[in-house]
Amino acid sequence: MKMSNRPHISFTEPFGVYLHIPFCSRKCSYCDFYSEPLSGGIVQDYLTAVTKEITFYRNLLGKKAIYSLYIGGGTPSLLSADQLAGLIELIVTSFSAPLSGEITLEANPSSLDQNKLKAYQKAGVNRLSLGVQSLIDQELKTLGRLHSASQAIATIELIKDYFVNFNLDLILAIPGQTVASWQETLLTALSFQPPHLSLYNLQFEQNTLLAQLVEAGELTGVDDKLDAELYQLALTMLAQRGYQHYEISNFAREGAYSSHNTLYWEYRPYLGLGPAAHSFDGNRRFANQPDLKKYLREIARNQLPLAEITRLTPEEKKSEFLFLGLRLRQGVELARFAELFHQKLEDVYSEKLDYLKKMGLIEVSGGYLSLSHKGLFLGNQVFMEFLN
Amino acid sequence: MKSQDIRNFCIIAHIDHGKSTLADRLLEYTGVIPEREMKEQVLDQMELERERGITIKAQPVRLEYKGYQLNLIDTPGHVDFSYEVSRSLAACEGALLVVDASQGVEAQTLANIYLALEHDLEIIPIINKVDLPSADPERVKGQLIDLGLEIDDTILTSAKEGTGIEEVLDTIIKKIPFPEDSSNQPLRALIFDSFYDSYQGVVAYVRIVDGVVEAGQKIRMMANNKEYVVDEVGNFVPDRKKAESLSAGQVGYIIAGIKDVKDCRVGDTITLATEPAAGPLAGYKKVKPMVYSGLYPTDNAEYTVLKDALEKLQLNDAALTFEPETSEALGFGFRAGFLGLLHMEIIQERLEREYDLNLVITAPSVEYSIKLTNGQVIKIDNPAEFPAPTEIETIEEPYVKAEIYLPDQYVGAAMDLCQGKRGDFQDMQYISESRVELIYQMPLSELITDFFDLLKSKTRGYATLDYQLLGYQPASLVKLDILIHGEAVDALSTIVHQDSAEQNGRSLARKLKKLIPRQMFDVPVQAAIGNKIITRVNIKALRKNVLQKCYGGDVTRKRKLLEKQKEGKKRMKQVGRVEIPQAAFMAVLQRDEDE
Repeated sequence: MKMSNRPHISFTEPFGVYLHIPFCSRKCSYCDFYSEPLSGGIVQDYLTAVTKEITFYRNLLGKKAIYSLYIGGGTPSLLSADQLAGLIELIVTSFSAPLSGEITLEANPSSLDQNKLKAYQKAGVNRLSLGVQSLIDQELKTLGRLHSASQAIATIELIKDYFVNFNLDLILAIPGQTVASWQETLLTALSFQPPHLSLYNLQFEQNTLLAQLVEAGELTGVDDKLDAELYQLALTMLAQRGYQHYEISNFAREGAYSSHNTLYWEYRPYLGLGPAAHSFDGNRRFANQPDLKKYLREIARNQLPLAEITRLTPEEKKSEFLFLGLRLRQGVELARFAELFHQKLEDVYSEKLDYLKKMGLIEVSGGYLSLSHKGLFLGNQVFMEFLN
Repeated sequence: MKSQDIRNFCIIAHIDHGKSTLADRLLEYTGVIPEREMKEQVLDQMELERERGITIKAQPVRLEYKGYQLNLIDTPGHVDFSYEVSRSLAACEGALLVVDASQGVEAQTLANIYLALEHDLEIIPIINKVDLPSADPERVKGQLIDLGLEIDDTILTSAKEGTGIEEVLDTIIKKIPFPEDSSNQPLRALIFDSFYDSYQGVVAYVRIVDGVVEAGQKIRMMANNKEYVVDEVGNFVPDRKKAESLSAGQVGYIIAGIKDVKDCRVGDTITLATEPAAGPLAGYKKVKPMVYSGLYPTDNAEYTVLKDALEKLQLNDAALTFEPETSEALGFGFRAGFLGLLHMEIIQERLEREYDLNLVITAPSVEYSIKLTNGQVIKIDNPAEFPAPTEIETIEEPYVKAEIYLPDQYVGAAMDLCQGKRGDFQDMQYISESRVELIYQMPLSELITDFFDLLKSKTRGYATLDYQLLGYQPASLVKLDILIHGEAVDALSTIVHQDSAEQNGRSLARKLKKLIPRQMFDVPVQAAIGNKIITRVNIKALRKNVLQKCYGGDVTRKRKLLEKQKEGKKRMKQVGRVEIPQAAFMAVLQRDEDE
């Protein structure tokens, strides 16, 4: 199999690999991420195509070492264990076993069982990220999730038997959520002592069912005052229980940081596979065809299925480095900025830094620039300043 | 060419009744523009004119038909430019009155008929858009009879489909009188518009009333006695085409090295310096701005760009005035004067589009005449300059005669609205079975705020409006100040009637609360008259604004979301510590939903 296009893409250090599994049993009301309803024939087409895509990259890049592997979706746990095992195997033999050792699989409570978990473990998955979202039935209904709170709880219990390292995704600012209901979700989740927690604000993305319901006045979004209080409650409760708050939305017990996600924030490279997957090689951002049919067609023509490829300007790189890095609690290292861009951050952005310090949104100490406690809540006000 | 073979005419119509489309068809039919080169609204050259479907500049064109020379003068179609319209009419002997076959007679149809009759024009009624299913030409004919027009020669057309065009041309020749041949008289040329050409200077659009003019002659502008030597004369076919001479009855242009449109005013008379006419043509007046507003660049560094842009626009628009102004809140900018709200909007839009400027525009104001306690009389057009109440003896403000034309079922609602806007009822007449003309006198300041929008909404869009300045009348007015975060923002001050000051203050504060985005701290908004705070609302601090995870590493999308937020921020003006969006400075013009 020979590729008919050879775009300029090159990785100079071990990169993360993100594999997108674009299938869902049903679309959640808040989700605008790319997915297709599940049907047998199309899964086989997809597997054939993504296998070819991996081979193309192996040929284009050479047998390079990878840093981490993250299988997301969609609903990856909808694939059979054998199908997943085959893909992991192919990635590891084409490139390498991940240097960080981390292989994460996203899963939904409604699509897991004991046999699957056993098989995933055997295939090399060593970190499971479970989309719990809420442990209140009414809230799960609003989100259009297929599982109930009790199903989610049963799944967490099951996971614990097979995976030491796992993450629970929870959502705050769901219409109808109260501080009490949020606390109940948090407390229940914490009772399983998850090594890692991701707490995301609900966003009303365009063209989602949820956004339409809000527009039609059938649902009301949570105002930012309550949102801030929900977030503050989580910060305090998790700190009390020994969780490290290492990124705006992410919390971990000692050592359990997500290696793969940390790549994004640290401005390190990653390769996305599958439809709608995004990549970054240190200089260029590129993305695959967001639509499964187009993706399949391009691969059938022996083409890398790229929808866009952009070489970043030095200005864009600097601003991305900052708005991604500032999401980390430790912030961005001034020395690394100087090393990457041959300029001092303090010189490039002196006025902006003064303004943001005056507003009490950032702090500089110990060679790092980071968000203040206030800045955590108003991150966008900071990030915006670093755009051209 | 003998004057018997010349016909000078214009087309008058209410907006959207099909004036420009009819003009297009006449051009096409007479072969001025071959069909294949036809684009819509040929005579509307500005992008804005085409987009909005309105004519802003008068535009003449010569048509050749059956051995006759037909000069069509396309006139501006908006009440802001009524003086320009009147001068265009003065250059003609006849007018095609275009009325939409479904809409029937509207306010500007009426205003135009009166204007045409005032200028003694022969009117040819044309009922247009007869192809529409809702067309009712008989009803429209009835309306025209009620207005005292002769309808024997009424022509039914569909300019869109090109029907009735030949009949229109034949009727022009048959009915419109040819201009009097007074070539042997001293030169008198009426300027009905002008245009600045960067190579040739000002191009004056003229109708030769008496005498003859040709290149090399020395001419004199009768309003200011400035003299120039004629470089070139010619006609519009429709582009400029040089001619030997222009003689009585003809329409064309004169180029004479005039550097500034201000020296070539619409309505002025051109005569020969060597053999001047005894007196100018009647009707010249220097048009004066009716409304004023402050123009400020959001980025102070763009001040000179704005200045250059205004100067360039003024080259072609003698009615636009501006002078430097400083605002404590907004920095350096200009106070500009406009003929009306549409004129103001057009200038703003051209500044932003053609010169890529980001502007803050303050709410429009009229010019007040204030007699101070020391006997001095001052004129102010900027609320920030309103004197302290103790220094004021009396205030006078401009009043207009407003003519509202509407279906009779909305009369009550319209009258209520006029009452609320300090209108004085003058007259009410049935123009046809169910259409009514309402006449009010009201302060211009009330008319230029949200009056027209409200009128439209209260009459389901059916009412039309025309107005003319009447003069000044005394009024009890006060200055309403707005304090944001404890500081008075001069650019938000307005002048309002004493009786409605509190209500205005509350409404304005409410609107500002909606328009000013939340900042990182609480922002109180207060309205005050003198030292008395009459209302206070609070804009709560922004508590949380942070993007969530990037799904699968889609950083580009994240960047775009941030850029969108930033773009909104860029269009705001920093006043003290508070960022205020452009729209807030025009808040007074917006509807208050709580009312």
